[in-house]
Amino acid sequence: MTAAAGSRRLNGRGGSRKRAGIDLSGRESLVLLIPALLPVLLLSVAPLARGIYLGFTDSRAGFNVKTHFIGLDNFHRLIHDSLFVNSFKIGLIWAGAVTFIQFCLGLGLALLLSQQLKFRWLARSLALVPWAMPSVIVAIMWKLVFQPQAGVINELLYRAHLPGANIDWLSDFSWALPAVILVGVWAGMPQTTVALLAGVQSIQDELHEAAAVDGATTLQRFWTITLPQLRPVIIAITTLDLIWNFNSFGLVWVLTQGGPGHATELPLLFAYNESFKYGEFGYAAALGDVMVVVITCVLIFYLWGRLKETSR
Amino acid sequence: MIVSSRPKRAKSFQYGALIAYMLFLAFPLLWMLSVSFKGPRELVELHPHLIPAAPTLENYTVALHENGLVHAAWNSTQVAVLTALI
Repeated sequence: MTAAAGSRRLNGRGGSRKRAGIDLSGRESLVLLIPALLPVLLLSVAPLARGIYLGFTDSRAGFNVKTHFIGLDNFHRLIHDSLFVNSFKIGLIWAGAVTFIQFCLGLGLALLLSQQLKFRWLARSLALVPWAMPSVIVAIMWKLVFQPQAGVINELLYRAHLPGANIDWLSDFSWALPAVILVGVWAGMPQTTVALLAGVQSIQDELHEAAAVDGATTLQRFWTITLPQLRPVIIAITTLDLIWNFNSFGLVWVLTQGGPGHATELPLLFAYNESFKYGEFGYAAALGDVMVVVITCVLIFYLWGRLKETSR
Repeated sequence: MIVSSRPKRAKSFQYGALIAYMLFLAFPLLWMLSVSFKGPRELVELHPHLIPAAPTLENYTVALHENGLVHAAWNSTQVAVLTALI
């Protein structure tokens, strides 16, 4: 259809118009897309492609150092590098723990915020506070809280006469990762809460009322109505949280720089150290490739789940 | 939301849970605010208090005048506006 015919439909009198906007041929819409595609290609796709390619080279920092294509050597080295295996393990523990705790606490808060409580407006605003703060500031703030001598946690433990008032949380081999996970949960809770709150509020009241009439207790109503209705939202926000948490860098870097003896070294921290401390760009890029593959697998699982939902 | 007559116990549990959540979410921010008003002597005291005994604006003046906070904020504003526009 030509543009003229399209504009005629646009200028037609009101009434039932089946499609809003101008009708365009496939070619015309492609031409209009190019200005938007060009920056994406230049600024997103090209660097990504170069980064993926770097993973197959031995690129290193240094003046006049030549780069050679070395195929899968970097990946061989990665698998046998105990630090990489350690960082991957820490990354999985971190992402899994933070996402799970975030989900549980976020669901609880979402259920609370959907109730008719006084000061609900204040609670909803306060719940968004961690979201509004940049992760570097969050990390600095929690460093103050975790400080062994002048920090809040040790002070509260001391006043309550509970054990543990002398622990240096971020430098202790066994407490660094749990402490960092706590900060991760704190920083990521608002996102999960908001998504789950939207989901909870979209559940129709009639379902709950019908169940209450049938004599279901609150817990039964939660299990049989709330959770199943929330399933698509839960899957969506949990997958996104997993991906974001696995990719997290700034928060843990400012908190511990990889922790006492690599105890909190997430995969991206390992990559950062490799490329900027040791100058091994190719090696770090190979790690990036591995992470992209892992994230893509998680994404495929999510999309497959969504496709199954919509085709039902 | 279902409008039913919930027992008093459930309501107070909900309020208690809400307060606990709010403390968890807002307390670190409150602590940071309190630390920002503490002078150098109070910063390193062994048993800190929430409300500083001798609040001072010294930290703010140092941050604004000596550490170039205003310039950094202006940089951030430029980056944010241009990124959003483009």
